Amino acid sequence: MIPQELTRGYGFIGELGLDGSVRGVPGVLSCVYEAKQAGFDAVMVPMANLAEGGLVDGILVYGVETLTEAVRHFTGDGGQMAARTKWEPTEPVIGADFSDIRMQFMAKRAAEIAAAGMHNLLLTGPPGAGKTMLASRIPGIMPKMTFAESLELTKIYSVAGMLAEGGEMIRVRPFRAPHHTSTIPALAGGGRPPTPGEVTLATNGVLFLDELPEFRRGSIEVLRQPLEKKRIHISRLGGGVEYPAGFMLVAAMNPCPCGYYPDRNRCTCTPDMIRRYTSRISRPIMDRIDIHAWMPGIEVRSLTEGPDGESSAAIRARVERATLVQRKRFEGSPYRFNADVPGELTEHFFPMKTETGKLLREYAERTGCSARVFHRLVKVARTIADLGESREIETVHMTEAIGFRNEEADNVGV
Amino acid sequence: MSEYDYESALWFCSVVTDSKIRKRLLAAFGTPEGVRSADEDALVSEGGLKEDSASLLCSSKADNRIGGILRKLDQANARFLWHEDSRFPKCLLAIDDAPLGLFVQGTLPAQSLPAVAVIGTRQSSAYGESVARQLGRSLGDSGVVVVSGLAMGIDAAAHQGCLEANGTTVAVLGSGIGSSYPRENEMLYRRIVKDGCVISEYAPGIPAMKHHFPHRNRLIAGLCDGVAVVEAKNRSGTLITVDRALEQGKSVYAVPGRITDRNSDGCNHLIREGAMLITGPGEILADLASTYGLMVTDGCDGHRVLAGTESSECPIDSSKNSKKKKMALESEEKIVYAFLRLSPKHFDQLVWESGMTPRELAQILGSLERSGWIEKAAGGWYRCSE
Repeated sequence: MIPQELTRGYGFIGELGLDGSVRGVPGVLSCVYEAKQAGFDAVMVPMANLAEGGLVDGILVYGVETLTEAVRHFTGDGGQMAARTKWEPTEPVIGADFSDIRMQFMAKRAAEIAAAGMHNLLLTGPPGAGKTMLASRIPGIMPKMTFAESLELTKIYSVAGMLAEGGEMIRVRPFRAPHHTSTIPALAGGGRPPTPGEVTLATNGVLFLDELPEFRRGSIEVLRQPLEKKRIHISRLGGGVEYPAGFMLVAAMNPCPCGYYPDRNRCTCTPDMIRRYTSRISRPIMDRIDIHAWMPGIEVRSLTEGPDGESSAAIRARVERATLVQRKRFEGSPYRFNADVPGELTEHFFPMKTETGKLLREYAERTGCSARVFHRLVKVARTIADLGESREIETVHMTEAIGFRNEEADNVGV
Repeated sequence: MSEYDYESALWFCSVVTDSKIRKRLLAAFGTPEGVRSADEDALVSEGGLKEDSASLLCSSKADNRIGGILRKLDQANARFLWHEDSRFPKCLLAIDDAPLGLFVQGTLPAQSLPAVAVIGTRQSSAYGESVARQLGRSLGDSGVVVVSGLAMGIDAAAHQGCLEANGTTVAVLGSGIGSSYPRENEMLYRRIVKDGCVISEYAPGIPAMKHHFPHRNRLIAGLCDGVAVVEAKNRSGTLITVDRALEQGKSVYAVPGRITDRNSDGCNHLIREGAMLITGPGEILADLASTYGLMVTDGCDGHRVLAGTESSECPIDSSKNSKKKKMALESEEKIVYAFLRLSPKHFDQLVWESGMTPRELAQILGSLERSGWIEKAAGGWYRCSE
């Protein structure tokens, strides 16, 4: 028997076996974090989860292998205390580098802007243009994760039971690429108890949807809430759960069913076929994609051997500078990136010069675009200005942002 | 106007669709009225119909099909014309397999007016569409009726251009009148009905069928004095219209294209075979004048120049050009503009050719687009404005 007052302030996490052993469980990091928030002084966790639990600062974490050990901890001496390591942001180590990509200037510039402001990105291009190649390199140019971001991500993976043995914190931004046959629960999360889906696992990183029109419509529409709120709510019998889902959406698609439009020498799709193909992605989803880049096919690129691309490190250096500007801007607010700001606050955070506003309003009137597109253009222009180290959103920044949209496309061939 | 029974003729053309059977029945019974009053036995013995088709024909008299069609025509403000009607286009009486009747929505242009068909592929390029539109505009401006098939691509652009010049345009459909095929051209359809007319051999409510189109093409050829092909692939439906036009002794004009463009294969082939090479409406107007002795209301002066070409012969142009020349361009904009053509170039190619950074180029392209010098053909693809 242990006197109750000895265990005051303690929390206990683990699975007790019939033989008295304490087995590892998923989600320890979140539990310990919550225990600390709830005012516990110490937590006892399974030895297998000790390193993971020990990541949380400000609370004592003990690891035990058996129930006997746990008892001995209070009566005599037993249980091991977690050794804490200091947080060091690391260089994201990603094998593939941007320098592998020749030409594709528009797409690379779009990727840089997207990474700097956490904007959603759509890549359109024929098969073989390098859409997947480019998308998979985007986490490598995104800013290094802060401790808070890393902790958030590690908690998610801990809940999902996907943390590697040893419970190292996740320091590299995720790149999740669910196949287009993925079910809605796989994307949004589900099951009992509800486990995080791809939208949550991609938090603070990239959710890559290749062949976007091939996804079932319901699967794509599921993205609407997380794209807007950066969280996803999963309703289940007996209550719902809410998971974070603050990812950058990178989607890729062919311009038409055969993939070669607008090259009329190769594409034989009728305008109607093209329209039907692109309309598989609803307008509300298109509106939520801030930046749209069109990648040309191999002919244009092979005109001549293009120059070697810039390295991921060089691009990331510019992105990091833009991130610092944003951090200052959003001090004391819940936002981290320009893209996080909700539509109704864009005016507050991103004041525009008169000429810039006039330019944008002219575009909006000409194309009849939605208010959502209007606000997203402001945010993208702000990110472009941040990359250009400009205090004001100049007309040139807005012009470039508008160049990444195609609300007025008349869609004819080349 | 020769007397004929409107309802019988309408019934006959709506119910009997096979042209051989039509001829046989008319030969046996003289008029649609005669066919309509014949009983089942007579249709079999004298008309040579099979028994089941004869009974079908008779039952169609009983049901109120004509009433339905009349109502649809009424709603669409359209009418049926039997070939003996004085308003029936004379030029269609002379052609092979001449239509017995036509459905017309809108106002048929005066038969004395010169008419030119501007036709081409549905999968057109931006360049092709702008040429078709300019041809349509210039011809319409000169008082020439522009005939086409209201398909997507070249056809739609030609109609559009003609309407822009307040000209008269005629669309010949492969489906029954009253419904636009393809649906995307609904707005265009309505404007054509307002300022010109839509013609079809098929009764209202009959959907577009694949085999209708080659058949329809003989009417397009028949209605015009010459056929201008803007863009066509080899082995395309456009070339069927050209064949019909040649059979009917009409002129054939073709817009030449680059040898690497599949969309110009048909045109280049036609030129090799003897079609007249055209670089603007001037050649068409001159040909109409010399071959047919037709008068056109406007001379060369009213015509326009294709951006970039300096042809002496009434070449195509747009009214924007003169305005554009007055505007000054920043020197960097001039550099970028110089790299652009009427056929679109991708952003990346322009980066490569101009040596500018993507950021600079995006800004210059944006401002050129805003001031109307250039336009986006599709996402990421830019070209000079017409």
